[in-house]
Amino acid sequence: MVDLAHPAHAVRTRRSFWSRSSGLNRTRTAYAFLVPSLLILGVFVIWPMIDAMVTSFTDSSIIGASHWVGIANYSKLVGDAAFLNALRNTAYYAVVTTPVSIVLALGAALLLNQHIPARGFFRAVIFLPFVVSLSIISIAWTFLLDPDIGLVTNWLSMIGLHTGNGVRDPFWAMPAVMLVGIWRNVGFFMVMYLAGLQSIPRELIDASQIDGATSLQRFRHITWPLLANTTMFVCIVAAIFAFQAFDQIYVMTNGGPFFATETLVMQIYRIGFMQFQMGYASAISWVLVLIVLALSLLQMWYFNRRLVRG
Amino acid sequence: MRAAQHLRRSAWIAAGFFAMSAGTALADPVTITFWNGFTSSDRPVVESIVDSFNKSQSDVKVEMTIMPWDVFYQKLLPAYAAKQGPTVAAMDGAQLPGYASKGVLAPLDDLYASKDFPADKLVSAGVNAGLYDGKHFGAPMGVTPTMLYWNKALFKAAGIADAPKTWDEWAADAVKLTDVSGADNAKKYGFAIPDHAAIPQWAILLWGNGADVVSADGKKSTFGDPAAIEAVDYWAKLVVDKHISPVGLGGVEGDNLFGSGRAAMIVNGPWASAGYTQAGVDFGIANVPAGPKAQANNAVAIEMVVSAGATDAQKAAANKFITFWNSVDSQKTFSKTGYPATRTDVPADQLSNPTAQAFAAGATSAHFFLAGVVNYAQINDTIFTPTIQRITNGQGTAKDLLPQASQQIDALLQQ
Repeated sequence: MVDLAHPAHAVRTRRSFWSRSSGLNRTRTAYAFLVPSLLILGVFVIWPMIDAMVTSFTDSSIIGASHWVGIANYSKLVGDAAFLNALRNTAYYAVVTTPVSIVLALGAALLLNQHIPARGFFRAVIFLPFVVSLSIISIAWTFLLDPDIGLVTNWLSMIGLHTGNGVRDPFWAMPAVMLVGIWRNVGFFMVMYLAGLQSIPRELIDASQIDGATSLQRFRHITWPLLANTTMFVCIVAAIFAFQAFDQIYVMTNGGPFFATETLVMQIYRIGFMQFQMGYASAISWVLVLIVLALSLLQMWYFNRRLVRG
Repeated sequence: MRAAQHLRRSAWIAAGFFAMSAGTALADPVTITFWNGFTSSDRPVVESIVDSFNKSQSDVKVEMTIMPWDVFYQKLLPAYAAKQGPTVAAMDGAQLPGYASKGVLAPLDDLYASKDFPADKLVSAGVNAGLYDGKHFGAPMGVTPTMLYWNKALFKAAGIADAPKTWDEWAADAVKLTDVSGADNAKKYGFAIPDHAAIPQWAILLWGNGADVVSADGKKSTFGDPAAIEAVDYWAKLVVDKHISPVGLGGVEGDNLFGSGRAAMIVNGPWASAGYTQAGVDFGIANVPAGPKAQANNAVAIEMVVSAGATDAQKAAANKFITFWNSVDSQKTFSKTGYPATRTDVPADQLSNPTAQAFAAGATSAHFFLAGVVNYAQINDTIFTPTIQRITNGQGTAKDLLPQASQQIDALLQQ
């Protein structure tokens, strides 16, 4: 057995890494492995993004010639009430679904990390919605929440809770699509947290138990700080998911009633693929990209300050 | 020697293939593609007419693709832009100006001039719906009014003898047939009024009071006029205060309510009758009750259009198919869907379906919603429907919101 931790060995490895020939080889091999993914990313992600950016400076409408309009599409956004409404709806959706999904996922992970009966079954049940197609579960939820024939609304009305006009109600439509969004994503975040929980060294827990820490203290001083890496990842992904909300809204409310559930992605779809104003839709897409980018950078900066380095 | 033999044999085989391919090329029919959205119970009828056209002759072969209408409208323009569009498409007459103005449709003047095409025998609403800028861009595929479906059993139980004839009777019956005191899933509605993903119901209510969304020439919005405000007010109050219809109903939800006997009346086209019959509803079909100013109902015209990118041979083939579609025999077959004939020379009693006979009676008072307006879809989806929804959700009155909407529509009309 080679003792990799031996200082002499470590020095040798470092030197050979920097030695020219082997370093080049390694880089070349690394790039060779990356090429297929880079190619796919380039063709299906990077290029469309660049193309959309170019389109956003034109009045392209799918058919016929498109003209360069400079920043006209972007300046139109500032005064567009429909865009501001979609921005507001997206923010509302994100502000509610992101923390609620994270808290629920963490709770489920903490619970299902313990030795309870049928643990695997409950984990599977919570994770299942993430695997099923969102449009299909949205159709199912539409029926369940239908104010006239819905099962859930019927149960609620039996215990005296009237949900009024359900997803057709301008006030309840958004909570309904949020519910489906949260229900779908919690399982995924729970799995992330379960992995995070299992990476916490057992000795720390044992030591804290010997020192007489309560479970609340243990969570506050050991579990939560050591989950910071996972929390950063989950927060970023949850926020991105929230800003991408589309499927269940398209199926359940189609953005209505009177745009009460029209998020930015719904609006991009409506303007781009229903009204065929590709230039304007591309401009909104780029605004969305910038929002998500800014938000992700902000979250990374925030969490990097409290990251625990192993 | 052997090599030469081999070569000769290969040459013969090659020549044989060449001859075969040349032979098939000569006899090849012109293939045209045909897209439409007849996905429901009318699908087999449409398929049978296309089949009998393909069998009736060997020059033209129609390859049909049927998809849901929403998918159809999402695909059509991008498909034309990519030069992959169908040779013939069936579209709502309301959508036709938008496509014609983009130059993706071929004018059909030679079709209308052809002696085989029964231009002078067609229902005028079907011909007019295909006009854009004074030129024919569409020929009728199916033209129908909408009518009032009423549930006979519910009417009898409420002690009402017959379908309403006037707005006052309509409103009184709707209120009488409404009972929302029960549990959420047992509420009964007098008159289900879908406000989206359906034929424009609220337009009928405007027309009945002599109002409209745009002026007759389509240049100016009249949605803010007193007659429009009065009409929307009248029906919105019945919806909001008397609960004659659920608020924010979609077309399918409305059909479900009527089909399950929880709505006593609904205005719809002939395509709905098969579903209602299947659901076991004992229904009658009557003309839409007359408003204070007019008796009016929706006209629905599905128009056949031809791609501007089609070759001359394909255009000629398309004309042949469209002519076949509008023949007396095809129209008698098509009436199995409940649509009346596109021709005036097919008497109602010769139509194969009682629904088609009933709908043939309503054709005289049928109006097109936003006829000839290029921005039809945008006006309907982003202004008209949301405004009605705001009012029925109690987030504003007709008096405040209609003039605002009218200004927005004017802006779109001027584009």
